[in-house]
Amino acid sequence: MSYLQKNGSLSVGFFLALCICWPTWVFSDDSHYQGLAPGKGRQQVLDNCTTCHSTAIILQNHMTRKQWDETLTWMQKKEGLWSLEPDLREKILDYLSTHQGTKNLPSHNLLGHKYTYRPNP
Amino acid sequence: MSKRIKPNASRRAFLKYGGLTTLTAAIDVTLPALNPLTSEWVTSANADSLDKFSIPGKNGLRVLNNRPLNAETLPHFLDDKITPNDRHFVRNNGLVPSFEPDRETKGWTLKIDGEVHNPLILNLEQLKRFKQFTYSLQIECGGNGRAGYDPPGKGNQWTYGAVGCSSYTGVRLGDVLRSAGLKDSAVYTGYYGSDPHLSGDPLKIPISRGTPISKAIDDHTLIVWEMNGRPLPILHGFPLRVVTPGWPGSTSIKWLKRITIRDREHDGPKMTGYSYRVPRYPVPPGAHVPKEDMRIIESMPVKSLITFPKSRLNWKLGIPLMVRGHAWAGDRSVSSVYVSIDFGANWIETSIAAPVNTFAWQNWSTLIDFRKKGYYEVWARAIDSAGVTQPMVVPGWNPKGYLNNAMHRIAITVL
Repeated sequence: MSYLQKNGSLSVGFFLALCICWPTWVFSDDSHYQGLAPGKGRQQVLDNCTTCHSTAIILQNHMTRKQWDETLTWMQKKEGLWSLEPDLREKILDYLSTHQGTKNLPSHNLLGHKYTYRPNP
Repeated sequence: MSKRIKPNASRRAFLKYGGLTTLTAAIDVTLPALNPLTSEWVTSANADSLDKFSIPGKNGLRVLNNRPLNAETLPHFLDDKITPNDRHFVRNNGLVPSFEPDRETKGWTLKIDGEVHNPLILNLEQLKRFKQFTYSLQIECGGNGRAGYDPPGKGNQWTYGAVGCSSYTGVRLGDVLRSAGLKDSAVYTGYYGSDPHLSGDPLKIPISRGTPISKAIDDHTLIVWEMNGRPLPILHGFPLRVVTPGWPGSTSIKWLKRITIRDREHDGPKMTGYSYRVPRYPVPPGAHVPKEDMRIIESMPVKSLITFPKSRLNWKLGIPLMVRGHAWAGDRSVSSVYVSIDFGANWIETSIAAPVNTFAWQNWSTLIDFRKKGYYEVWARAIDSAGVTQPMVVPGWNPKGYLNNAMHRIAITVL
């Protein structure tokens, strides 16, 4: 039996209590967007993609639109993500393929030399 | 919150009262925040300030992800021969359970069921009556080195530090399974932990993996409760976990509650599809590989790490420099480690020690005499007991970016 099954009501009570006891939350812009770059669809990504995991896994990954689409489908099938209206899904995919796409990948080069010597075409 | 279409009732309730986004999004970075994973206060709970995110009980780790919690050790903080608790990397698929150690230990049970003659339910006292062993055991994340692949492998972008070798005390999984009596039909193990699923759905399991019986009953596959002589830290599976040394860390399930013996390959979450699998044949970078052409990762490949000095050292010409680190090779041992200071043109053999026990990593060291001032890279290359060595560049691409055992390289400037 999972932890939550045993202690679900405790968790709910705890979070409720915490919400009630902190009436003076301060919203700071940076922390509200959790590191996501500005752009169309950012809020939709925040609303739909940060309830389970944080933005850290989004920011670490760079994929094609098709790959992001497949990832959304996998999360819906296996990980409890709810269904998304087509419009909403498009907005989310627009954001992800623009800001977490495969162009301009971050460099993981940790030293002076760049090891990008490609094989013979 | 945005519109959502028909989440089930329990999920809706969880989102309304327990959604951690509600909690974390509303907390200013300067206010102390409850770390939902360890129930301790930290200064920041948001992904945009991971560099400010400190994990209680940890020192020298680079945080890749705060939810779920994933952090790797910087190589120069892995210099100890045996990895101390505060320096061991942390990997999670789900959330870290939080419970009071004393209260939960008393009631904790481990169930053994499935293809066994006598299913068992053991409490910790009963478990500890089996013969106890203390071994130093190497664990590496299957995705260690993922950051090196192009196009990127999907997942947390580990670089070099998702590896550790701590000393564990426990009992042999084989002894426990033999006591339950394995049936002839027993083929695979399936381990179940207690980590809550990220979605909060109590019916979902973040991960349940296992191994073939032969690996499970190896003398060094343990069910442990102590790490470096102290009770397992909560981040590392308190009160009980499996340690399957030399195989992907995901086979070392934490917060262990149940072992199910299967009559076929285990198919729990993260056993199927592309999880912890690589193509059966080599593929070009970016290839789409059909699921049926993927095979499960078992023994991890040979690899080494330079843990001293820290990269980007400035050194004085004329003084020999000690360079040292560790090497490991999954189910095999390491026969030699070489280093190069001229990009692989020449190789210097290091002194390498035998492991303190099978499946511990091995310590190597050498003294380097730089003849001239200048900028150098030190490369380390291990060769395993079957003569297999590490690639100079990233090995063959695979969809999820596993098994990057390319040589570790550090930079030294000699002045």
